[in-house]
Amino acid sequence: MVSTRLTLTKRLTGLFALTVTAAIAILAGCSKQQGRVVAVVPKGQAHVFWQAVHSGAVKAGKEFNITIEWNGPANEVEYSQQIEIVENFINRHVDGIMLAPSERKAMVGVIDKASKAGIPVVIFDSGADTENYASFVATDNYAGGVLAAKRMGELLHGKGQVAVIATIPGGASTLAREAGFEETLAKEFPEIKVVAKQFGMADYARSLQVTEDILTANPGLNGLFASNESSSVGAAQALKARSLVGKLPLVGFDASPALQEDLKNGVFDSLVVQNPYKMGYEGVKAMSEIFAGRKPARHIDSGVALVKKDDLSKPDVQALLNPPLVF
Amino acid sequence: MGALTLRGKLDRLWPYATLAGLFIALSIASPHFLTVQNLSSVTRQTAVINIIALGMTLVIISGGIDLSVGALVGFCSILGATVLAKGAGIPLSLGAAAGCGLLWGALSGTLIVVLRISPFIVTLGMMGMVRGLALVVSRGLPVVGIPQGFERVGEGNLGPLPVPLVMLAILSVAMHFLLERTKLGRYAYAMASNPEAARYAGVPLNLCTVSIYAILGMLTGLASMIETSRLMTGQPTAGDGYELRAIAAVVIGGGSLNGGEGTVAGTLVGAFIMGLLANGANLLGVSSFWQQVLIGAVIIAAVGLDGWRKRRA
Repeated sequence: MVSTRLTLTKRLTGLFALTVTAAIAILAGCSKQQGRVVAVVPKGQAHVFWQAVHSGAVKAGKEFNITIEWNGPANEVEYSQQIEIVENFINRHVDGIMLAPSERKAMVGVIDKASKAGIPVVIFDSGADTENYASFVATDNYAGGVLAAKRMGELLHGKGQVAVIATIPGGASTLAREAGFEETLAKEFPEIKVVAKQFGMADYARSLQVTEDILTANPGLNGLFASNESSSVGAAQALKARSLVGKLPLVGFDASPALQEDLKNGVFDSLVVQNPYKMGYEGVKAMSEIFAGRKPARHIDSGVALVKKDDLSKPDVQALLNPPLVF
Repeated sequence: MGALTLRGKLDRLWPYATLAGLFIALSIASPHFLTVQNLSSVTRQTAVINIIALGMTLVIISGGIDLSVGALVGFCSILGATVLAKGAGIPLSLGAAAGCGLLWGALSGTLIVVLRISPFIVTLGMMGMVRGLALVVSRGLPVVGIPQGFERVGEGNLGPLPVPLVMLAILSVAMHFLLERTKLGRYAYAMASNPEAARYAGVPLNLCTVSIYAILGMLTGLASMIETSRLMTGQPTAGDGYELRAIAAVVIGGGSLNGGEGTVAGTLVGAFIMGLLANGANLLGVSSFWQQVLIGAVIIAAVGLDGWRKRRA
């Protein structure tokens, strides 16, 4: 009896010690700090878009001697996890926080908390309903929607029925794109009607499903606009599945490698592209100005462009679409 | 339980030892861990899962399971936020959310009893229905217009203690009392080990089942208002996946999915182990991807150790 007890105690202790040691080794191996530390918190990590932001941030970090700490929730709708991540960065007293708010009201609390703790905040990609930030780096999303609407007007010769594969209710940046698209059509091409609009909820499978349902319900459709990477992927898949490639013009938004491939193959007429690499770069650059005691611009535009199939071979477009990624 | 052997006592200690070890390890690994600010963050971050897990402990002890609580967080959050936005005040909104959770829980319990379908299936169906209805009534949009002052529920302090921690402490004591000192608590243990014997012994099985799921629903409704306060909006998608985290907390803390085993203290330890792992990983700059791997491994290790201990006993 005594011996069994001893073995068990020993084993338990051994197992426990092993677990803790392993945990420390894993965890501590990842924490290295030098110079200023800026936390960069994306909305999610599932899209190539965020990886390009990361690359831009790391590039600027090397240039301005800033260590980039990258962490965000896996999915873009995990609001409370994003709050947790920012809170923990505040508790660590990092030197600056760059945040892409996943919800414009829900993130107000942590942004205010950071600025109260004396940590400068640079917001990127999407806005938030607070004034407690040093700079806001973003695509002029409304202008992106306008570009897409003008291209659609040109393609349809100012007449027809279109549908919008929207992204997510409450997402400030994609709502602006959808508004830019719909308002420009109403103003400049009054004979083009938006007959259907559904949210793909930033999810590939869901975007595919809503596009299929829109195609079923509207056989007379003349064009499609998708307002982010996941809705563009879903719309493209639906066109391929229904053999509508080349028959129904699709204008997408964002440019992952898969979307570029589809543009090359004619699934998309064109893609409106942002510059996430520049977004990450400009955000960290704004931070470096704050550290140097200067005041960065309150609003920094990271640019937007319409890319057609023929543009793909141009070197400047290639640099925009395929920045070197870091992991 | 009877008199515990020394070995039995040792076996029961390991979740506490793991929590203590994790605490010490993190104190050494990060200078930011052992600060009032960070520890108060951890309690705020884990309160929602902790409170749901208290109710889940009762359900799991009775041999049941409830997969609908994550969706219920979203539904109650929408309702509570709407009540607040209409200007009805904090107590009424908390009551509405808790009452709404209670009704949904009672409905799950009733369906289990009346249709004689396994709790897993009933609550799986309820998960879809409740989440779907939350999206329908909110049209997928967040509920805004929550008056200032409500953030105190999630972010405020009562004296030196975070409000969610005080709520958790009161509810934990209440749940411990329920399990150890009331008929319902003793019936819950009895139901899982031998339902037929329990029935012959005069346990009102149907009433107990409905009450147990209703209590979990009520706690989930309350927890949803802490979530609402932290987001300062009512989100129809809130609470996604929380059911699995609550179940994991119970299981890590020594609860058995076969029923009959589980304690309030164990569940709290289980939830805090997961909370500290996430917090520590964030403080040390470990990505959220690795956090999921770590927490998954901890769940398997905890249950594996538990099974190994029983086979040796």
